[in-house]
Amino acid sequence: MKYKKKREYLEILLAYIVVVISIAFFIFPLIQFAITSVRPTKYLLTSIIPRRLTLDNYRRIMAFQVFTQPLINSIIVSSLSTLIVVAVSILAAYSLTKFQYKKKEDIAFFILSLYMFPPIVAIIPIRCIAGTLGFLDNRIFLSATYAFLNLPFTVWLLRNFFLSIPREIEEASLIDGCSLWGSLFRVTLPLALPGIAVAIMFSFIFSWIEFLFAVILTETEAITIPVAIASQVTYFIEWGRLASMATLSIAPVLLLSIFLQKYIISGLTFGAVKG
Amino acid sequence: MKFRSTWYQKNVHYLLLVPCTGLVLFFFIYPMIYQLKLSFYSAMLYDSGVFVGFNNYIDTLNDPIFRESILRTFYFISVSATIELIWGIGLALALNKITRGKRILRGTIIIPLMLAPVAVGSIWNYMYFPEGGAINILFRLLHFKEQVWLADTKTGMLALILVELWQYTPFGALIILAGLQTIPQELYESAQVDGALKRQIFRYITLPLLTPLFVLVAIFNVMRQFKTFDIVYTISKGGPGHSTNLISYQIHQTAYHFYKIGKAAAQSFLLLVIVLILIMIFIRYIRKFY
Repeated sequence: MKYKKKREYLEILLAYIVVVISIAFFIFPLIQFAITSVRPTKYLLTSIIPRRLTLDNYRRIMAFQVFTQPLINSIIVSSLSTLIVVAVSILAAYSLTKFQYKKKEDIAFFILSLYMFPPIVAIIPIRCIAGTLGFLDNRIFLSATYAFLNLPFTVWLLRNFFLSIPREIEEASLIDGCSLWGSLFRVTLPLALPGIAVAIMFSFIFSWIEFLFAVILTETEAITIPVAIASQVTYFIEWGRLASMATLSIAPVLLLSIFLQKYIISGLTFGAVKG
Repeated sequence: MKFRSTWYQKNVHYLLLVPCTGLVLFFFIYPMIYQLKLSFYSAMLYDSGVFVGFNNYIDTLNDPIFRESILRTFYFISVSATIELIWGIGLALALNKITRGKRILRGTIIIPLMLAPVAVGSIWNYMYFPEGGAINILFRLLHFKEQVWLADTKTGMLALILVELWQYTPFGALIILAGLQTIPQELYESAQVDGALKRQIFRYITLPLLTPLFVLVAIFNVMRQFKTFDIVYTISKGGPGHSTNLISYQIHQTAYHFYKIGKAAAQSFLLLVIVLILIMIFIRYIRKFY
C-alpha cells in the first residue's frame, strides 16, 4: 500500500513537471515579445533584463498610417467576411441536417475536404481572376475570399451543432404552424446559439490572422495587419516597432481565448466535442 | 400547412445550398479550371504567354528545387506531426492528472493556437536572433555553443520545426484532453473493482478509446502543415540556400518572385494531385469517425 502511494505521488510530480516545462515553453516567447514592445529600442540587444519601460513604440505606430490603415482594413474585412460566411453556412448547414435527400453526406464531406486543400493551390488563378475583374486591392473581394476560406469550417461546425438539436422540437414547431423559415429562426437558431457564437468567433479570428491571400490580393489600399507586420520583417528589423504591432494584433485574440475558453475547444474539433 | 408552391417545397433543400455553391464555384471550381488552362501556357505575371503543351510540367518535374521542396515538406511534416502527437498526448495526460489550476493552464496553452502565424514568426525571429536573442542567451548560460540559427543550413529547418511545434502542439493536447474527459468514469471504476492494474486500465481502456482521436489529430496536423507558409515567410524566407523552402513557399516564389505564372500553375496542380490522394485516404477515415 505504501509503495502504491509513493508511486501515485511520483506520477503527480511527473505530471507537474511536464506541464510546467511545456507551459513555460509556450508562454515565455510571448511575454518576452510583449516586454520588448515597451522597451526603448536602443537598449534591446545589449541586455535581456528591461531597465526602463516606455510606450513610445505604441505611440509611434498609432500615429503611423502604415499601421492604422491596416488596422481599420482588418476590422472591416474580418467583420464583413464573418457576416457573409455565417449567413451562407447557416443556410447550408440547415439544408445538410434537417432534410433527407440523396448525396447529402457526399456534399457535406466534399465541403469538409475543401478545408484540407493548401490555399496556395488556388492563389494563382484567384489573383488572375481578381486582376481581370479589377478587384485587386479591394476589401470587399478579400472579404468574399475569406468567406470562402472559412466556409468548410463554419458549415461543419454548424452542422454538428444542428445535428445535436433533437429533431422532434423542430417537427413540433412545423406541426404547430411554423413555416420553414419560422422554424429556422425561432427554434433552430436560438438552440444553436453557442455554435453560432463559435462560428462567428473563429471566422473572425481566421480572417484576422490570414496572411497568404492578404499579401497576394492587396497592394496598398486594402492591406491587413498581418501584411503590415510581415512587411516589417526586412533585413534590418526594428524590433520595438515590430513587437508593438504584433502585440496589438494579438491582444484581441488573447482576450477572446481567455474569456471564451470552452467555446474554443468545441471550435477546434468542428463542434464534435462540446467543450 | 400552407406552402408557397410544391416546386419550392420539393427543392428548398437545394435552394438553401445555392449561396454556398456559388462561393465554391467562384472561388474553387472555376479557379481550378482556370489554373489547368494556365499550366499549359508560358504565362508570366503581366503576360498571358503562348500555348506550350506539357512543357511547364516537364520543366517542373525536372526542376531539382521543386522535387527537393516536396521531399523537404514531407520531412517537415513527418518530424513535426510525430513530435506534436507524442507531446500532445503527454501534455494531455499530465493536464488530466493535475488538480489545481487546470482551467488557467488549459487557457494558457490555447493562446499560441489562436495567434497570427505572422506574429508567431516575428516572435521567433526575435528568439533566434544571434546577438541578444533568448535562445542564444540560454545556450550561453548552459555553456553550449551559440548558433546563428536562421543563417545556417543545418539549423534552419530545425528552427522552423520548433516554431511549428510551439504553435500547434497545444491543438492535439487540447483535443486529447477533451477526449480523456469524456471517457465515462464508470468504466474505470468497474475495472478497478475487477482488480485491474493501473497499467492495464491505461492499456485496455484509455488507449483504445482515444486511438481514433489520435488519428484525427494527426490528420488535422498533417493537412495544416501542408499549408505552412506564413512562418517560412517571416522567419527564413526559404533560406539559407533552400534549406527551409517548403512547397507552398516554393510555389509562391515561382509565381511572384520569378513571375513564372504558368510554371507555378503546373506546380500547384501537381501539389493538388498529391494532396487529393491524401484527402481521399483521410476522408475515408474521418467518415467513420463523425
